[in-house]
Amino acid sequence: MKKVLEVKQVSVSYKEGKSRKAVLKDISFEVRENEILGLVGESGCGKSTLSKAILGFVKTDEGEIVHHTQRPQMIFQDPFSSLNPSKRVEWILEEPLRMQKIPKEQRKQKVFAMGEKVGLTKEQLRRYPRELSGGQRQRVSIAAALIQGAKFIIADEPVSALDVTIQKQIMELMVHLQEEMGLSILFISHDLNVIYQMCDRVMVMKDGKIEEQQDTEDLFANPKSSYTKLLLEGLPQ
Amino acid sequence: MSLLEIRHLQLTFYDTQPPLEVVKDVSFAMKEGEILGIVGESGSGKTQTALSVLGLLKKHEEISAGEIIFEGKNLAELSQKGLEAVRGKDIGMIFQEPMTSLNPVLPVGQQVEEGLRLHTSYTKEECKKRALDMLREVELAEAENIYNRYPHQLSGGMRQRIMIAAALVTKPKLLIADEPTTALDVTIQSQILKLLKKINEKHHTGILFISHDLGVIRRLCDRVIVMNQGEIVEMGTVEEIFQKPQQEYTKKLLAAVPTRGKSLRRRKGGEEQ
Amino acid sequence: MKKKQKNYNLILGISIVLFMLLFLLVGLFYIPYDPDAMNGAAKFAAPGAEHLFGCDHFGRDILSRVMKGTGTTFFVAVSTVVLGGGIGTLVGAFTGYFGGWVDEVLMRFNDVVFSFPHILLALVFIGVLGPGKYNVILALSVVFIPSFARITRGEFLAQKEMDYVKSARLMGVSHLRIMLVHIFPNTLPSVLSIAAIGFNNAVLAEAGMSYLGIGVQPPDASLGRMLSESQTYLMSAPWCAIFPGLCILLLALGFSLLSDGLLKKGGK
Repeated sequence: MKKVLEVKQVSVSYKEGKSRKAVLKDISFEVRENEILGLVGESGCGKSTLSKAILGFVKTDEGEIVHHTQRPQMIFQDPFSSLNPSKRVEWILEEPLRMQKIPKEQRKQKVFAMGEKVGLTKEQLRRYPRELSGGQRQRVSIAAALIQGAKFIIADEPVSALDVTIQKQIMELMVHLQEEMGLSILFISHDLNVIYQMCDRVMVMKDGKIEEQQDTEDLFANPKSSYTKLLLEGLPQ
Repeated sequence: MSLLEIRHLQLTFYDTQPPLEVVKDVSFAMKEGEILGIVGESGSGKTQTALSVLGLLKKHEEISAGEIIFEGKNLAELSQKGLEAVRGKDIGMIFQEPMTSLNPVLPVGQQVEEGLRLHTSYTKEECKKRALDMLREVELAEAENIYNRYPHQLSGGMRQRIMIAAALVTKPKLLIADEPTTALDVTIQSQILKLLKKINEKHHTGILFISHDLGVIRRLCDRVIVMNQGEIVEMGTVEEIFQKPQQEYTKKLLAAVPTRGKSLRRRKGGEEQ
Repeated sequence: MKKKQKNYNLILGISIVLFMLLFLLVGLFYIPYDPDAMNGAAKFAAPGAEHLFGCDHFGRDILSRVMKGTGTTFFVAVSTVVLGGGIGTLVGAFTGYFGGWVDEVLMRFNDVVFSFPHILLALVFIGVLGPGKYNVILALSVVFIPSFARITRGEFLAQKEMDYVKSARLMGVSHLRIMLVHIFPNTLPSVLSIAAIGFNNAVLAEAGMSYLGIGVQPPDASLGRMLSESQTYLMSAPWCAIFPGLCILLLALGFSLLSDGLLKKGGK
């Protein structure tokens, strides 16, 4: 199986006063081609730091992060801060193409085609982010992440801020796009049920360490770590 | 007699043109010692309904029709002063964000006592004793130690316990909880729900529980109201709503909740969708 | 939900500023009399049909002088804001966005400049450079840099933490483009508002310095200078002071309201 990302024995710590506080401790895993890998953990477990380290926003103390595709793109949790409030949606979606020096006519076409793919109308593309609902904004974020042709996406709690009915639509959209475009997704969530519905494999993180890593069905049927059991316990079936 | 009865409540926002009816003709009753859940998506009016009971509406929001009967009194007609006497004494409240609900510069113990100092004539020692009892009641170990701490020194779960203690210290008959577990981690959320259930059973406190999370509502509540766009869609016991929903909207809502048992993906070892 | 609250500050501020601009514009093309022409016969003429605002102690037409003086004051204020504000905004943008030791050094320097009263610092500059219109502009610009830098820095500091900036980085947008094209438009309400305040301060500072005789030099008309000259005749010919004073008041009020209105519009 081909890999898009390898994380080898990565540790990250922050300076806290005179000492350093370890946030990620000896993390190793891989993301394979054409899979959705789930990452579960509670607040402060280091899952956001991990995504920042993969994207190069945080320096690692030890270990290696190897990308086998072009730089991954990211979908953020808060659809309000992830879109520039002073730009129209089409401008936001065109920007990555501008960086690739694609001529204007082609940019317009690509933006329109991408908009169609994620379910945004031409009229919605002309709006400002504040004139869109949370779900529509998240569609824009997805389109922005995919428009440069990235094959590997990190999605940090992409549906956590949404109402359930909208949440379901966005989850279905992501699964659909994954299958159609053969994407690899690192899907970060605190919600195990969402993870169950979306992911092929799951990693459970706690206190900067990976507690366990299994295929989704196996993890839900036979959790190995006591922490995973605890998480599953507090969960409606 | 009902503990709380809301009759034809209508709430209007006057800061828009034309004024926006956020709650349209909502009526329901709550029995003593009952846990009633209100569930709905954003814009359903669930929070506004709860805030109107507390008289905590903003300037441009107004109860345009209807009655809110609590222990025989119509709260919709009471002045702010009259409401203040009820709020924090006979009706307790907890909110989503325990950090912003607590005063950062006061020790939490004092904040728990606040209700007693405002609404009772207990002596200082008596107040403190009751506050400490309350801290133990919400299962905070080392109550004496916690009493003198400041909010930022406590975890999110502990802060929410402090909020619960402060809300219940005057032994109210009704507790209004607006998304109290939404900001918390799953494991902490479980503990808080268990605590609320325990308090309900022990003191017979009625709880009006507002949440967008159907799973949480199902675990805690006796009866459920489903709201959408300012109207009650469906009302019933937890079994009725979750097992035999009658309305399309309720069915759609339930179907959208991610559960184990059906996956959106085809994968090895998993059943086909 | 759309809020439909009228922003009266903004409406009133814009009206006053537009009115003053109109006054200024007319003054560029048409002035009733030569502002420096003395007319012995019209000494201390009261406002009337011939001289709308009256005449001063040399018999110069006050309306003409006010028009010319408003122009001078405006020129000084605008130049100051453009020069000082421009540099300050750039400094703030870079320090806020990049942080690090450059930020530390520049901001400490800023603190030093900031800790002196504006006017006092400007006086020191004038003392070194000598009086005159252009030196006033230079002195006030330097004095205004810190306040612009501080506000812009704060805005950039907050904005750079937003996810849309991270997202732009991931898409390969350069730092400079992120600063100018992505972040800057979002800081505009604050920057424009502080520009309006800066304009205001510049008007008052120019008037104050000219009043003290170290600003705009005669025979150039200046509102502050007119005030100082008319001081002696305040009782006998109050119109000499009232009209230039009114102009300063309207300019200051207009831009102050504009600033408040902009802040409100920006939701801060």
